[in-house]
Amino acid sequence: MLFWAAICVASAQQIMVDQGGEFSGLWCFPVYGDSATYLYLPSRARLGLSGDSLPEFSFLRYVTEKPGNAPSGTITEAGGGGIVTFLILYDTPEAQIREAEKELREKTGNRKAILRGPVIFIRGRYLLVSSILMPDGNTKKEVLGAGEAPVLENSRLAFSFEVDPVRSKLLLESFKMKTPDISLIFQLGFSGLTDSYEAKLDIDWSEMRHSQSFGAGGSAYFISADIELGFDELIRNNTIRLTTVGTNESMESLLNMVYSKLLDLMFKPVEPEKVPEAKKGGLLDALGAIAGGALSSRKLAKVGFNVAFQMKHLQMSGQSTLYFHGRSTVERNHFISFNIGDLYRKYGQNERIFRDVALYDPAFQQREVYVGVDGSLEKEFNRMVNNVTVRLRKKHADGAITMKEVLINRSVFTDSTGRFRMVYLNRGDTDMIKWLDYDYQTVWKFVGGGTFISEWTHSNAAMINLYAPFQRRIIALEGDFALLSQQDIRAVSVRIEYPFFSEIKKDDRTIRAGDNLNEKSFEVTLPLGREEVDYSITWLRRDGTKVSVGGKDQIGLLFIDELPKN
Amino acid sequence: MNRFMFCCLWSIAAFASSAQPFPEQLKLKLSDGTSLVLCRQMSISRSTPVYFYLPVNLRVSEENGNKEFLFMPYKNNDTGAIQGAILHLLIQWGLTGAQLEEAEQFLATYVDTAATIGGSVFLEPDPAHPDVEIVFRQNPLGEILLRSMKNVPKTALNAGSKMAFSFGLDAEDARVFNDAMKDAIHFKNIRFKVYFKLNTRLYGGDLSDNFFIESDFSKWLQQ
Repeated sequence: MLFWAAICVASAQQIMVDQGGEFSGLWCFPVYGDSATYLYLPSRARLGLSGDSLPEFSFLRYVTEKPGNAPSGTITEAGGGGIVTFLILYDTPEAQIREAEKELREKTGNRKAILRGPVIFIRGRYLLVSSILMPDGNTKKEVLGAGEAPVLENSRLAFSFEVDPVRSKLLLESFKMKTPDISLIFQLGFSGLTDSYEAKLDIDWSEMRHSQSFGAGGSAYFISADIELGFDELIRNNTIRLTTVGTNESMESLLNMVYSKLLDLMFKPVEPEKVPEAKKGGLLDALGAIAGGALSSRKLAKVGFNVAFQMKHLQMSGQSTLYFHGRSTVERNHFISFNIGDLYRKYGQNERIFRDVALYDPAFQQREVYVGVDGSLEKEFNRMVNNVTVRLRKKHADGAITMKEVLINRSVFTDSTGRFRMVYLNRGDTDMIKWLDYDYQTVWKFVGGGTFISEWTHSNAAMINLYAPFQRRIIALEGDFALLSQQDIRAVSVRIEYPFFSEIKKDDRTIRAGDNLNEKSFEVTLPLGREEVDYSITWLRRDGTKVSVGGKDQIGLLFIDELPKN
Repeated sequence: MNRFMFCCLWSIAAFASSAQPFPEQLKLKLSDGTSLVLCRQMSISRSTPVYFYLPVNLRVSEENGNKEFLFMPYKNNDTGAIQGAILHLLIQWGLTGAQLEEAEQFLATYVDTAATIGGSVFLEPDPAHPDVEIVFRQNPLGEILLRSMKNVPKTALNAGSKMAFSFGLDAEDARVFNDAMKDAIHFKNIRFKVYFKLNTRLYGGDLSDNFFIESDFSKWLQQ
């Protein structure tokens, strides 16, 4: 006679998974060895609460400036998005625990029954369910977030997601509904002991040898699925008789144990590759089918699918009896799902929960000031102007001064697209209107060496329009030389003088009888704001004497036939 | 006659002739039409009969009295066309508080004054159908649900546990769905099915070890 006892060692924390019940919505299981002490499965998930009882949740929508694609448009779409952050935990309300404990005592008739605490999970997973938070590009049937969850209740799990502007708006609208598009599922695994089983297994070895399944004896090889079918047959035809003692509530666990023991008794595992070719038959194909899922062995699953077995050369005869008693450890899953709920109704006006901000941080801004060069100035680069320097001076609120300058000459102007710019940063300039203020100055270098440095000019415009600091004037000569000839005038000399920035320019004309006065006019370049030129006219007589007169001209016309009276 | 729509006590024979003082299984119909199967398990208490019920009453869950159901079509502006939609719902199975109370009252009346309900039976996922399934026949709205589904929840094995779905519908699907939502009849025969595996040895009797519960989507829209 054989004797076999399978006694699982049960820890004091193990629960009896087959003896639980639901009391006031709380699943409770007795602890092994202490039928009055129960553990419960946490019943709810929720947002964590901060010290001031506000939910640990925030939805921040932000707006940023974005370069517009249509330069002519004055209203364009800003950039931005949203960041949603929340902490989630699972727990059990104290009131529910007390209520469940009360009901537990009533229903079990055990007035000493207590709920000691939550079941300690052996593993946990979380799944976040949301279409809006689903990142772009994810394939369908894929959850946004999934990962390991804490196994102790009241442990917080933190989430944070960034969404684009459209999803940000969608999420906000979703939060305004009673069931927003954010749910979370906790899948929590726990283990416990099954009910005890007691059974007697009688084996008739002579019948075994003649069985259809295992009659071939030690020459045959099997796979686990075939062995299980064989055991089923042996039990059906009473070659193996299983007799349970007491209740048979844990038959499933018991059968697992019985089949495993029979397997140990009658078979030994072999590596399929070492099975003789002549004996292999369809063994490898069958193993392949198992691996592909076509066949399965439920009760012998623990031995692994890809294992072949060879029947032992049993020396047994007559009858044997095996005794089984014990418990099995099984694993179960507990799900806790919750929707994040109508937070907006409660906290929509609380800026610690929902907030819209413009990300307008001056510290990260810079001012660009462009220099516009007028087309007429381009011509002066050939004639009058060597180069122009534009200086920008920004006095910042923190006392710092930014100096920038840009040099424009003919080649730079030609090579550029006409856009010259200077940039200054924000240095403590909290008053954004004043931040726009600056001064500028232009330094002109003229052909021939002249220089003009403008005064500092105050501005806040984004463009400094650069124009020539001078103007051109024509000073024409008029008169009837015939009259002068009658007065014995042989020639007339006309000189003009005018300041041109740092120098004095002079120009002379000599007019004789027969000259075309239209060809004798002066073209002068005057600084802006100056209208008059100094002139002198000298008449030369045939006897060599001279008469001169001087003056200032503002109208651009000098008469050469008006000799002074004296 | 009491308010129970008592359907049958199909293990009444065992009740009468065997040594067991209480029937192993009971079938009854609650006043709201819900069919309920109760299975007795002795291990929780040797002195009082404790029954567990088979999964029943698949429905949209409630929180604070509100159905956890969201259908949110969205547009670019008030006058524009629908650009998409979000459908989000949580479902659960199990007796409501009122149903549980009614069933326990039945037990106290017809079985034993101490008889009680210990919750739902202990279940395992069906390996062939571990997830909630949406089944339909030739209904484009069912196709929309399938292709817009962002997650497939696993079967919740305890009564009261919730299963969450989220669907993201594109513009065309959202317009079709939105129009159909005006009348729940369009969603008839789109069914949500939840499969289970039951350790029948634990409860004995004439129970199948694989079974499912289901509910029609149109029914949820009408509630």
